[in-house]
Amino acid sequence: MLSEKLYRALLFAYPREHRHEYGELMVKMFRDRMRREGGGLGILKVWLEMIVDLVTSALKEHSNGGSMTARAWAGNGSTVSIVVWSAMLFFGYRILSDLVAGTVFLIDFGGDCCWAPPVLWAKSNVTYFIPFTLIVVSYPFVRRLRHDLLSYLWLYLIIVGILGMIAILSVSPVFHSMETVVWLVAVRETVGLVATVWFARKLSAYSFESSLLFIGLTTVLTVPSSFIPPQFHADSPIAWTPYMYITLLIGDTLVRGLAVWSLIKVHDVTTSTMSVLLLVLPMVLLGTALNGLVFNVWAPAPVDNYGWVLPMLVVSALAVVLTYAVRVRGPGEPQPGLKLQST
Amino acid sequence: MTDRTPTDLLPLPTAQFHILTALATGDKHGYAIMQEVEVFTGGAVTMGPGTLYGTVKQMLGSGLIEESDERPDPELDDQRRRYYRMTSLGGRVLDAEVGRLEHLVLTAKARRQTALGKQGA
Repeated sequence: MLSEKLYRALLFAYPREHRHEYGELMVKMFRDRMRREGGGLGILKVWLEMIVDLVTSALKEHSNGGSMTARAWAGNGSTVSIVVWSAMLFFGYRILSDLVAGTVFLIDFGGDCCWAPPVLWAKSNVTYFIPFTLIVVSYPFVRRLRHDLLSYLWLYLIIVGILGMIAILSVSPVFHSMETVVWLVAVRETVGLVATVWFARKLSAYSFESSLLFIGLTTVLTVPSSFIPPQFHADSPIAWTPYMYITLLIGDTLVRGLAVWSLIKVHDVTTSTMSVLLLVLPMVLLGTALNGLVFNVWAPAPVDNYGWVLPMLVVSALAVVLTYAVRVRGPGEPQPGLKLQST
Repeated sequence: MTDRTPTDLLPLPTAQFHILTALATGDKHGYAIMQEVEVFTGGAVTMGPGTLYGTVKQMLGSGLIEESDERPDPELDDQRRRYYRMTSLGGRVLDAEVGRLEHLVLTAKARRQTALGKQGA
């Protein structure tokens, strides 16, 4: 039974000891539920319930002290979050910034951002600088609300908006040199990475769950934005084929999945510098390789994209250095909102 | 676990309350607990395997329930199932939680009636 096999595979989301103790019983209960529902829409209903149940209970199992990740999180501030964020956002940030900035600030970046329907919709309705101006002007008022998280989010939005401006610069005809454009993008990636790590540190002071939720949202937001067919953008210089599209889709899923998996599964990540590097490097290299592969080999674009590789590697190295630098600074701030008990 | 008093474990999380209530009428395996909970909550609560066994693990740890070797009908039963039963501590905790909830309901009712009385006056 395919459903049962799939459910059994999903049990890997739980800590090993929990899986060994209760895995078979859970599968049996799943089977009983499926039998009771019969088929058709009933199966869909069971699956929806099971996914919600699996996500919430697996997170609880990990945060109940059954996993080293939660204990490391509690004991060493936001180190784990920074490791995961540094790696994950290196890949996800660019698309996220295009999507968020493009949607919120209604900026026409040109290039891949315009595959996103929200941007297309927004552009046809409002002038694009107005929301950005409103967000900047309202920042002092948001500060007065004395809600730290909201203030951080607002500031983060402003930074993303400014990075959007850099994106506009990078596609401007003023920069004829591909190398200049690539370095501008690299600067943007770096600033975005630093800003996001900063935000992650602030966020992780609230709770394990909120950080995880944000990571989840980032994943959900960024992955579909890559999946939207690029043909939406009429001016795209790249001749996309289904093969390239599927490769990007699988690659993107793998990289982001790996980041989330690392958060859940790599337990003793904070115990040594080497383990941190070992966690970050494969992801960085994988992302770089995917970029290089897709844009150089399978995308006969009218521009020379080999220039991507060096800036990508520089930003990769920065991600590693940044991760290490923050890590050796010691434990993070106290986390008043941290809940390690599910009760 | 013996030095624990029922009030130490209150308020009882909803999932634990549901499981204890299901086990109040006798030993049950996981799926039977889920069915029982579904029935007495009028279909409002369906416990998934993750929630159920996560809660069972916690309750075994705190001594509210224990595994049972007895089988209601060994010939009809699947030996791979695990049965659970409420311990005496579990019974006392359930009683204490019921008392706490009753008190809360009565308080809420009384305060509501007072408020409505003031409005009417």
